[in-house]
Amino acid sequence: MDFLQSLLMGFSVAMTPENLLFCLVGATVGTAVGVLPGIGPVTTIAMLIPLTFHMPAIGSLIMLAGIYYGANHAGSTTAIMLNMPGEPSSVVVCLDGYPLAKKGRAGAALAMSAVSSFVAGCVAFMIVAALSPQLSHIALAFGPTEYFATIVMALIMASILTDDSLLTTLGMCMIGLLIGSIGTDLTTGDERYAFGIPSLSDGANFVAVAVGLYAFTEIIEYSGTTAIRQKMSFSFRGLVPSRDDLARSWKPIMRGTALGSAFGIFPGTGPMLSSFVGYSMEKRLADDPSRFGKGAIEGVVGPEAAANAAAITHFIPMLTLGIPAGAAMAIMLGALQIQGIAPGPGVMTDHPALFWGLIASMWIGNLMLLVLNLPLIGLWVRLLGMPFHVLYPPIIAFSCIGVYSEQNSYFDILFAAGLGLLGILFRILGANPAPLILSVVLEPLLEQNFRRAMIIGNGDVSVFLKNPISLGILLFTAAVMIYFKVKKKTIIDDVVNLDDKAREPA
Amino acid sequence: MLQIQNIRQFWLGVLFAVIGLIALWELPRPIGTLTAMGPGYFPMLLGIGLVLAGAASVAVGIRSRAHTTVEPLSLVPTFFIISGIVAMALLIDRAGLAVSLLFMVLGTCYDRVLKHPLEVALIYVAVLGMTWGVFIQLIKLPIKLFW
Repeated sequence: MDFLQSLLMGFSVAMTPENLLFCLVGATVGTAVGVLPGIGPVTTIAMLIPLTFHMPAIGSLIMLAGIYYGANHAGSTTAIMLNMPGEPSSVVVCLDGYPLAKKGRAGAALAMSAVSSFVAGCVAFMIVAALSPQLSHIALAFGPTEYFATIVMALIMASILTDDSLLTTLGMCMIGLLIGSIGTDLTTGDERYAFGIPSLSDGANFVAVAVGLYAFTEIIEYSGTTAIRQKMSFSFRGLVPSRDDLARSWKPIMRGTALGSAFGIFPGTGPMLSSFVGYSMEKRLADDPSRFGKGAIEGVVGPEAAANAAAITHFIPMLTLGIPAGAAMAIMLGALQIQGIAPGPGVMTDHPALFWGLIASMWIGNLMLLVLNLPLIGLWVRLLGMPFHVLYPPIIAFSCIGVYSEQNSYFDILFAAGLGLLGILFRILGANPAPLILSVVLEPLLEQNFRRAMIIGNGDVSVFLKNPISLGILLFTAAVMIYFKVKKKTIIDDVVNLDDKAREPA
Repeated sequence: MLQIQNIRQFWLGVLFAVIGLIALWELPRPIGTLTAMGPGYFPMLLGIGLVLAGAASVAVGIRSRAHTTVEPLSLVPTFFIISGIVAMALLIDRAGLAVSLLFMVLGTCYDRVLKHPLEVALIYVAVLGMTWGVFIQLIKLPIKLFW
């Protein structure tokens, strides 16, 4: 069978000692980053991209992907142990994970959360492997109108992820598109917004944008916070979940996996939204919803499975359409482009080893995480005692030299510093930079397809509504948007009300 | 004088409109037409869109009843950290890695350099060693260690 053969080929690529090492490095770094609340996966990926210029494409992608799902996996460790979510997607894990830890059942909660992540990861991995080729075929038939509609869907759905108003997200998208339009116009060859600066005429340095908006901004925001030193007593005997835990958990794990896998596929949604909806769903389906917030194991495994499944199916739109589904994916797409690989449906046919190798490495990486997370839990918790201020100089040094190294241009560091200031302004005004970074990456694709669609449609903007596929995509986007704008309040209420209660006695 | 309640939305609107106006002011030429777009056409749409989004945002900010506050800008860390980065950018070609990193570390550790000079010195040496090992020795970037 073709599918199995491709998958076998993928495993043979991912199992080479070199790629196994990259996978291990990625998963380990990701776990460390996921545990530390000060640095997120997006910052880490942005910071390490420059190092990957000198690595083989497949190895670098395996490592960056490892950081991404490793961080998602590990964020819940600190959520359960210390009531401190390492990643946004593990906010809901605090709600029932920490009460479980207070009851002395941290071990069981951690073990069940690791198992649910692993199960969800395995299922999502199969979905990616099975669905990507089909989607790739469909994507090959996409014309400019369909592509344009899909990109619009990605950008609009990104607004669901953020708490910001639609107006704010739209503005952030347009700023991102403007930054993306800097440099030489692909069609006419004219320079745009380059101001005579050589390194801008090749386009805005993507790594500089990512480093400025994420790494610099996060460091400035967190500087002054001190490390959290907390003694945790922890024994391994407690790691074994009870029969009751298993009986209560398997259904939520399955439901969470299904939900997360479905959500992850659509651009713009992702692990955080999936974990929120997963929690809300489990609470509504429970026989006794009052147990939630007091240490219900279902409230840990359901959202955890949803988040991890979504983190993995998130790769589908990036690998098949070349449309990243979130900020981390956008930066990984940038890495792919720097390696000279044009993202899109061609990746699967032109670089099958890369495509299937990456997919196989995700399964291997999830297995590694299971091994990394549980026995080493003491080490990860100790990492939390590391003072933040020691971490900042090396992060900034790596970021700056990385930004510089792409074109040996000191201007790019200044550009990143400027974006750092802009990022601080956005933080102060409470605007999420994720839609912006997504737009920077998508600008060329969006503009080229818009131009082509206008030529085909003879300047008639209604061409997007006349094509059945693009009309369908746009209608679907509108429906999801309206649904979530209405539903969001109830989903967030489910989580936030509990969150307040959980914090009171602490 | 009316009190603006939704300050965040208001100032975001101002920011959007300013960026939109800059984009329109510096618009690449020629603009072209919808069927034959020049380099300026798409940026023009974005600039107009940003000005409109900014104006709408300002209007929402003024009329909204939702009260938001602006988080205070931590000026001191922003100033020192950004200055450290800018110094590094300006020095890296001329003075080499060692000097430019020194200024960066001084900027980032601004609050500790007087209280714990030894610790900052250790951080500097560690960062210099790490970056020298990784970027100059391992991946052989054309960066000088000294001027």
